[in-house]
Amino acid sequence: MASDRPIHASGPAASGLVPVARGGERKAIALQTALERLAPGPLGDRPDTPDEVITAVRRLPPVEARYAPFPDALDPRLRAVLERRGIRQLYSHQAEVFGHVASGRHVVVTTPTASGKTLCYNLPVLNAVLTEPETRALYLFPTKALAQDQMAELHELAGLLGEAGGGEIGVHTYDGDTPQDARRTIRTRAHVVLSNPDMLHSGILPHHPRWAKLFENLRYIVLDELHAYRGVFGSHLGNVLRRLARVCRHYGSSPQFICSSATIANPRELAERLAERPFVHVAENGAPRGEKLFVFVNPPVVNRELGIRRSYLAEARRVAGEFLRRGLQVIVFAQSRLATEILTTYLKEDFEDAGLPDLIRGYRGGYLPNRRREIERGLRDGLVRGVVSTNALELGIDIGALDVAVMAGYPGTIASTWQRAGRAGRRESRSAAVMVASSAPVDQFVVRHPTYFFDASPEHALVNPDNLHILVNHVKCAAFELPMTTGEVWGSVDVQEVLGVLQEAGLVHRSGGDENGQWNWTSESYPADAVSLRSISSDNFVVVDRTRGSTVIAETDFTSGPSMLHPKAIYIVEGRLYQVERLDFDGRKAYVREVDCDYYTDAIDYTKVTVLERFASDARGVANHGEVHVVSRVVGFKKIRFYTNENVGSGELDLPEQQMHTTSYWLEVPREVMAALPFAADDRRDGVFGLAFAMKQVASLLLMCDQRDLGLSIDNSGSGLSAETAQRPDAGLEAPRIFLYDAYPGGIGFSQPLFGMHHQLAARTRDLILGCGCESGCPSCVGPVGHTGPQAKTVALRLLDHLVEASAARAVGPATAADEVPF
Amino acid sequence: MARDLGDRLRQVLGTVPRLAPETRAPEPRACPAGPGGASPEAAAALGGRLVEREDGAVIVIERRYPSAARYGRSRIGDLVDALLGGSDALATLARVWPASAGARGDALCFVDLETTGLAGGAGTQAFLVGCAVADADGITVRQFLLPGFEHERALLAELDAWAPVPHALVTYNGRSFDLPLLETRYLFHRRACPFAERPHLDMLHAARRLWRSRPAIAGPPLDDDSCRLTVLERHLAGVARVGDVPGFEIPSRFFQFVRDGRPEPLAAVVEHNRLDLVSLALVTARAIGLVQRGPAATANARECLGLGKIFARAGAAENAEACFAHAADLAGRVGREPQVRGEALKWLAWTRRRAGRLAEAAEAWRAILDTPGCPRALRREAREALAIHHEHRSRDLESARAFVLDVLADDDEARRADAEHRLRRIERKLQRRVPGGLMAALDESS
Repeated sequence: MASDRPIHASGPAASGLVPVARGGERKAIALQTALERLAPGPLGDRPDTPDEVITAVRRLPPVEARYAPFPDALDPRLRAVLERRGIRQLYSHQAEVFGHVASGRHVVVTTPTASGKTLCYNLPVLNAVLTEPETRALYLFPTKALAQDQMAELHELAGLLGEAGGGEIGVHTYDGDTPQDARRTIRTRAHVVLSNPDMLHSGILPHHPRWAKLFENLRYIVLDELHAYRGVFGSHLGNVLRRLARVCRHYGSSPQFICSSATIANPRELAERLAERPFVHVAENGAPRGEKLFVFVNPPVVNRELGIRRSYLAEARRVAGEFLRRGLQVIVFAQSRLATEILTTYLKEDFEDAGLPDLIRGYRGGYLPNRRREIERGLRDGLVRGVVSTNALELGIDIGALDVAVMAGYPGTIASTWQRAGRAGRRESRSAAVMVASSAPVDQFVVRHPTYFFDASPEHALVNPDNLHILVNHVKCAAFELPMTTGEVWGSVDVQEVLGVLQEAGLVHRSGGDENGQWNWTSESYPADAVSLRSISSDNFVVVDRTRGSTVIAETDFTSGPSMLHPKAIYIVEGRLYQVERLDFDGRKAYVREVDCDYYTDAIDYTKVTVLERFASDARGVANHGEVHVVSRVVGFKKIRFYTNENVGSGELDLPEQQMHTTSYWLEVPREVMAALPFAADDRRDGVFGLAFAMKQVASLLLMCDQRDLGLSIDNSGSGLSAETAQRPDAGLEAPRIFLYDAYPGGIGFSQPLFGMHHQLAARTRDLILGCGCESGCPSCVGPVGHTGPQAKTVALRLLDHLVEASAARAVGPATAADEVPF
Repeated sequence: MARDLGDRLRQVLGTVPRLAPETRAPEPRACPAGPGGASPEAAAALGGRLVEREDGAVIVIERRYPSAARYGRSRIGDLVDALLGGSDALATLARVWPASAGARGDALCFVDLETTGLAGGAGTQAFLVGCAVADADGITVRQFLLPGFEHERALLAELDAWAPVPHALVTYNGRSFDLPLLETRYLFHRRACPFAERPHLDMLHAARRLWRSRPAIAGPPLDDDSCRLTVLERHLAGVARVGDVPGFEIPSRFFQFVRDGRPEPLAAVVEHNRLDLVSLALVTARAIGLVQRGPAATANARECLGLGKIFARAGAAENAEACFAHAADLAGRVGREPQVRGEALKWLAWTRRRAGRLAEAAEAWRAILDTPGCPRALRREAREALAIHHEHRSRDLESARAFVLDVLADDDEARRADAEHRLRRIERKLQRRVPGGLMAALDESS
C-alpha cells in the first residue's frame, strides 16, 4: 500500500503447497520456472501471436523512483516524524499534490497500487492540523473496511506527532460499527474522521447540528478510490456531496477536495462531476515499480466447427495451479460470484492432497464481515496462499502484495484490468499478471488484439447525479437537513419543480415569496433511512442456512435475489453448496440447506420492454433513444454439471416480476428489410438473435462499461423475449426491435452515448462477426451453435449490411446520430 | 418532445399514476385560507398573543391554573404545596440533583415538547415548547408555538429570553428525547441552549418504578402503556380527558396549520400539551408525597415496592428496607400477589445483606420459599442464596447441601454446572468434617 510502510517479505514459508520459496531469490526462481512452463520462450516483449494459446507476453520494465525534497511549508514536527520512519524525501507526485493543496486548489491524483497514495492526502491534512489545531478533515472511503485499513496508519502517524509535540490529534473512524458512547467524543474531538459515503448520508448529514464543530472547521474532504464512484454509487455520491456542500455553507466553511483515483480516462472530469468544482489533476507518478510480466492466454480451440474453446475456468485453474504449486501467493479474479465459487471449489480440490485446502479461500461481496477480515489477514500473513475473488478485492483493501494475479476472464474494462494486475507486485521484485480469456466476444477481441489493451487509454467512469430516481431522494434528504431556498439550484435539474412535486405529495411546504422563500420538510419520516447508496432500491435478501439451526450466511441485493435465490437454486459460499428450500419474497429471506450435488443452477429470465417515449431517432427510425419500461421475471432455471458444463435438467419457476423505468437505445429493423431477407423465418429469427448477442458485447466494449450495466431484450410487436434465454416464441419476427437498455431504474447514462455511436456500433459489430474464424456462429460472435441456429451468422451480417447502408444513406436532419461519444 | 419533468417526477415518486393531463386529478383543493400562522388572529384563536421579534414571530400562550381549581380529584393548591415543599424528596427522585437546586419549589420548570416527528435529526423540529411553573397561587403554563418554519429562531430566542436562570427542569422522558432535541435546535441556529446544564429530573424513570403495572421481573416491556401520562393521571387523580388528540396525529395537525394557516385544529394540540404539563406536575407531586411520607402512604404493594427501589437507588437504605418489608407484608396479606411479594422479599434480602445483617437476609430468602406461587426464577435464586449462606456463613453444611440438591432438582441447564460444582465442594467439606470435626473447620477458615 503506502510507500512509507515497510515492505514485508512474503509470509511464513510453511505454505505446504511447496517447494517452499525462502526469500526473494527462491521466489524469483519459482516465478521464472512457472512462467517458462506457462509461456515457453523468452520472458520479455515478444511479437503478439493472436492464433496461439499464449497471444501476448509483455514486459513492463521496472520504473525508477522520482523524488522531490520536503516542501518548505511542511511543519518541522511532521518532517521529523517522517524522517524517523525512514522517509527523507517525497515522491514527486506527493510533493506536487502538497503544493496544489497549499495554493488552495482541489486536487485529484491518479496513483497505482503501492505508490504512496495515502501520504498525498495525509501530509497536507496533518500539516494543516499542526499549524491550526481547529482544522478538521473528513475522509471518505468506498467501504468500511478501507477506512479501518487507513485508520491504523494514520493513527500511528498522529501518535508520533503527538510525541513530537504536535498536541493531541484525534483520528477516528465513524461508521455503523462505532459504539454509541464513542460517538459524542468523535463528533467534537476528532480532527480527522474516516467514514464512508453511506454513513455521511444517513448518520452524519441528517444530524449535522451535532457535528457543528466538524462542519464549522472542515477544511479538507478526502475521497479515496475515486474511480469506485461510478454508475449508481457515483451518482448517489454526487448528490450526497451536494448535500454536504449545503451543510458546509450553513456553517460557513468551504472545504477543499483531495481525491485519489486508480488510472481511468477521466479522473479530473469524474472529480468535477462529483464535487461540482474545478480540479487540477496530478498524473505523473514518482513511485518506483518492480518489473512485471503480463501474459494473455487464450484457451485452445477444442472444436473448430463449433468454435468451442477449452473452458476458461479450467484454463485459469491450470494457470493458477502452476504458480500455487511453486509456493507463490496468487490472487485469482473471477467475473461473477458463481465463477468465484466454482474456481474456489476446483482449486481447493486440487490442493486437497497437500492436506491443506484451507490455504485456498474464496472472497466476494455477500460474505459476512468476520469471514472477510479473516481472509484478508490470512493473505497478509501469508497463511492463505491463494484467493479467488470477485472484484471485491480490486479496491485497495490491504492484503499485502501478492506474487501473481490471474484473471479468469477479461475484467471488462482496461482500468480494472490494470487495477487487478496491480494486486500482484512489489517494488523490488518481479511479479506476473495473467489474463485468461473466456469465449465471450469482448474477451476474444481483447485477447486477439493485445495492442488494443496495452496501448489504449483506460475507460471513462460515467456518473449521472441528475438521474431523477436518485436525485429526488437526495432532495428530500436535503430538505430534511436544511430548508431549501427558492433560489437553490441542484445540478441541471429544475429543483424548484422537484420541490413543487414533493409539496404535492405533502413532503415539503413552501413559505415566503419567490425571492426569499424556503421549502421545509413536513413529514415525520427520516428520509435518509429509505435510501441506499449502493443501489437504486435499498432492499436486499438474506440467506438463512437451516442445516443446523438458523444462521444468516450471506446477503444479496434485491435485483439479483430472484436469479440467485429462486427455489431449488444451488447457492454457493466458498465452495459449499446450499440448495434454496424456500424463498420468502415478501420477507426477503431465502432458506437454504447444505447439500451435496454435482451441478449448479443458472436462472432463465424473461424480459419485456415497452417504449414510453422516444427522445430521438435517426431519420429512418432505425436507431432510437428514449425512455422504456422494463419488466423482467425469472421463469425457470437450468441445472449444469460441474466440470463438463452439460445441461442435466431444468425447472420452471413462478416468481414475482421486477419492473423499472429506464433509458434505452434500440434498433428497429424495418419490416421490408426483414421481408427482403432470402431466408426461412426461423433463420431470420436466428439472425436477429445473433446480431443482438454480438451487438451487446460490442456495445459494452465501446462504452467501456460492465456487461451487467446493459440489459438486452428483443421484441416483435410487443411480445418480449430475452436473447439470453432459451425461451422463444413460435412466431417469426416481422419487424424486430433490439433494445440495449441501462440496467438501472432511471438510467445511468449508457444509452445516450450508445445512440450517438450507432454507426460505430454497427460497423464494429460487423467487423467482429466478419472477422471471426468459425463457420456458422460461435460464442465469440453471434453466440454458440445450438443456441443460435446454422444461419445466424450469415443472416446477422446481411442485416448489418442493410442497416449500415440504410442509416448511412438516410441519416439527415437534427435528430441525426452523431458518430461520437457525447461524454 | 421530452415528457414534462413534473410528470416524470410524479411517476418516480409513485405519487400520482401517470395520466393524460386532462384526466389528471385536480390539485388538492386548498382549504379556505386561515389568517396565516404568524398573525395576531391565529394567536388569539389559540388564546395567545403574537410576539414579533426581529428574526421572526412566535405565538406565546399563557394559562393559569389557580390553587382553588381542581384537576380530577386533586386540588391544584395541594399539588403546588407538595411541589413547593419537596426539595429533599426531589433529590431522592433525581439521579443527579445539586443540593442547591430546587431549594425553593417554585424554581421548578416542567417542560414538554410537541415535535414534527420522533425520528430526531436536523429535520425534526419542536413546534410547541410548553413550560409550567408552580408558585404559591397556582400553576402557570407558558407555551411557545411556532407560527411557521421560518420563525424558529424567534421561538428559540423568545424561550431563551424568558427561561429564568435558576430553574431546575422536570420532564417526562426528556433525558433521551425532549432536551437533546431542543439542544439540537439551538445548535442548528448556533445558539447556546438555555436548558443545557440545568439540574434535570426525568420523572419517567421514577414513574416506571412506582406505577408500571407489570412486574419488573420479566424486564421492562418495550411498549408499555401503563406509564403514559394520560394513564397515570386517570389512575392517580381520576382525570379523564375529553377529546384529547392522539399523539400520532399531532405532527400532521401542525403541518396542516403551516399549509393553510388555520389555527383551529391546533387548539387541541395546545390543550394536550398543557394537560401533559399539569399531569407531569401531578405525577411529580404524588411522587414527592410518597417519598416524604414513606410506606404508609402507598396505595398498594406494588407502589410500595417501587418506592423502596427509589430509596434504595438514592442510598436511603433504611427507608428502602421499610418499604420492602411493608410491600412484602401487603402483598402477602391483602392482594395475594406472590410475584410482588417475592420481589419485595428479594430486595429486602439484598438490602439486609448489604447492611451486613446476613441472618436477617437469609430469613427473607426463606420467606420466598414459604410463599406459594412465587416465580420459579426467584425460588431458585433464593435457594442459591441460602446454599451460599449456609455453606459460608452459618456453616450448616447439611442445610447447604439440601438447598443445592433443590436447585439441581430444578431442571435448568444454565445454572446446573454451578450448582454441581457447589455440591461437590460441600460434599468434600462434609467428608472432611466428619473425621476432622472442629479442626477441619478451622483449617478451612484459615
